[in-house]
Amino acid sequence: MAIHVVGGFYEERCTRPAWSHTFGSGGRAAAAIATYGTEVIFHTYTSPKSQRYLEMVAAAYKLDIQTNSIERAVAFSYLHDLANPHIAHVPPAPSRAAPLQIQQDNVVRFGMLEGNAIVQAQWAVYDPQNQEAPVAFGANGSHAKHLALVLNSWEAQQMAGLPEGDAQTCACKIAQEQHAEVVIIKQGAQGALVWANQRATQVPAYRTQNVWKIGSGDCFVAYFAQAWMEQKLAPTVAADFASRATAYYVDTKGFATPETLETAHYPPISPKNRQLPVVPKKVYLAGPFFHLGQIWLIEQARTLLQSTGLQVISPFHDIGLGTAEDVVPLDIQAIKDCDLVFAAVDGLDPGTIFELGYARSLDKPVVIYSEVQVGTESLKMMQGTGCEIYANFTTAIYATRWRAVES
Amino acid sequence: MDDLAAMLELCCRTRELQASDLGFDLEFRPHPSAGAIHSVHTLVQREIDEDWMYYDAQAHQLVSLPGTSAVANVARNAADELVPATNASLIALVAEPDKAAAKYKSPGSLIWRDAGVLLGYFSICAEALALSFCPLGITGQPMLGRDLDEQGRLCGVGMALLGRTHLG
Repeated sequence: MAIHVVGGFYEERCTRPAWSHTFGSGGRAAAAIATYGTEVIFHTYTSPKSQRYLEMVAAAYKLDIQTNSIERAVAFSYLHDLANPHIAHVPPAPSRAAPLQIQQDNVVRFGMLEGNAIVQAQWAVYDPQNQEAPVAFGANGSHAKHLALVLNSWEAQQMAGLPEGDAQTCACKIAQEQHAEVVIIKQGAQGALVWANQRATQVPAYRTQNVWKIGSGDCFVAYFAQAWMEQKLAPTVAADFASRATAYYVDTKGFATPETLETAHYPPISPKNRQLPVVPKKVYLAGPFFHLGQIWLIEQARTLLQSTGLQVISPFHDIGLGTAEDVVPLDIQAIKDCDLVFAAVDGLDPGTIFELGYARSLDKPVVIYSEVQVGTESLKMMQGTGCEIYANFTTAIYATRWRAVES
Repeated sequence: MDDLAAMLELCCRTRELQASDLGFDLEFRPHPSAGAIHSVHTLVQREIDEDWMYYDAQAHQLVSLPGTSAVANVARNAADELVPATNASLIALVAEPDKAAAKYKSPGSLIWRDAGVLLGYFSICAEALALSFCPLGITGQPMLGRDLDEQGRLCGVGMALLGRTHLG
C-alpha cells in the first residue's frame, strides 16, 4: 500500500563537504521510501523554482507529487554538515501557507517551516522537526489510529516537559499524553530507545566508514515508517532496520534498496555501559590554537564532542597559555587522565604531534582529523601506531564518539 | 544556467559513494561507467571567451579552471566549423585514463564506451528537458588533451553543444 509523505521540500547547501541539493525532510524521506520499493505520494509546498526541481526529483525517484504553491522555498545553508544551519525564507507565523489536508491510510508527517499538515490516518509516523518548540501531533487536529513519534533527545525532553528527564521517562510520558503506540528517541552513538507496549528497548547505531549527517534523521523516519507501516514489522525490529538503512545513507549519501542493504555490512556500536549514571568519557582535544582559524576549529570540535555528553579537556580552554613550566605538566597530566585523544593535525604543529605520540605511548586511542595531510608521508608514524585517521571533520567527530562509547 | 544545472543533475550528478581501495571513492551516477570509476569528466564553456568549467558531480557544482579560456576558444572555433551555434554551451568530455587504469590493465576501450554512454545520456536528458543537444562527432583532441594538460594525463573523448531552441 502506498505511503503518503508530507513535509518540506527545501534547498540545502553545505560549504564543506560541498553539497547543493533540494530535498528537505519530506523530499528526502519520499525518495528514500520510493527507492526501497514502496509507492510514495509526496505532499509539499513548492515555489515556481522548486516546483521545477521537484518534477525532476519525482521523475528520478518515481514519486507521485501533490503540491501547493508558495512564493519562495525555504533554504538551509550549512558551513559543515554538523553545523547549525542558517535558514532563509521562513515566513512569519501569521503569513504561513494554509495547512495541507491529508486523509489516507499510511502517512509520514514532518513538521514544516512554511506551513502545516493536518493528518487523518490509520497509521502515522510523525517527526516534529521543530528546533524551538516541538509541537504535538494532535495539536492541529491531526489524528491517527496507530501513531509513532520519532524524536531526538532534546525534542523528547521538551515535549515531555522534563528538561532533565531520561529517555525512558520522557518516552513513557509522551506516549500517554499523545496516545502514541510507539515513541522512538534517537540517541546518537547510543542508538535509539524504542518505547512500545509499555516497555523500552534499545536498538543500536551502526558504525560506518564515512559520516554524512545532513538528512540522516529524515532517513531514519522514512525507513522506520516503511518497515512499520508497509512491512508491518514490530516497532523494535522496524527501528533496528531504520538504524541500519540510515547507516547506508550516512555512509554513501545514497538511498538503500533491499539488494544494496543486504550486501552492506555495518557493525553495531556496542556501548560498554548502559547503566546510569554513566561517567562521561574524557577526550583530550589536541591541536594548535595560535590564530583564529585554529581556535575556531578547536571551538567547533569541543562543542560537538561535548554535545553528546563527552567531557572534553581542551588545553586552550581548560589550561590556557603560559610558560612551558606552567602549562606542559598540566597538559601531560591531562593526557594521562583522558580516555582518548582527538587531534587536529593539519599544519603538523610540533606540540600536537608530541601530544598524540605521548598518548599512543600510554596506549590511549587517538583519532586524527586532517584534511591536508591524509595520504601523505607525514602521517606514517600515526598510521603505523594504530591512530584512526580521517580527512572528513564530521567522520572524525563521530569516530571519536563511537570510540568513547565502546571503550 | 538553470537548463545546464538540470541537465547535469539528471545526467551526471553523483547519487551515491562507495569507499574503495583504488585511491578514490566509487560513484553511482545516473549513467553507468566501467567499475563505477567515472574516468570521463565533463567540462563546460558557457560562452565564448569564458574559461572551461569542470563539473564536480559530487558537489553538483561548476568549478572554473582559471586561464583556460584560450584553449576553450580553440575548441569552440572547432565546434563552430561543424555547427555554428554561438549561443550554445560547449560541452567537452575529457578522459583521465590513469583513473581507469587504477583497476583495469587495458582501460582504453572502456573509456570510449563510457564516453559514448555519457553522450547518449546527455541526448536523452536533453529531450526530457526540451533542450537541444548536438554531439559533434569529434574527440576534441588536441585541445582537450595536450593543450589543457601538458603532462599528458588527459585526452579528449567527445564534444557537444547544448542550447535552447528558439522557434519562430
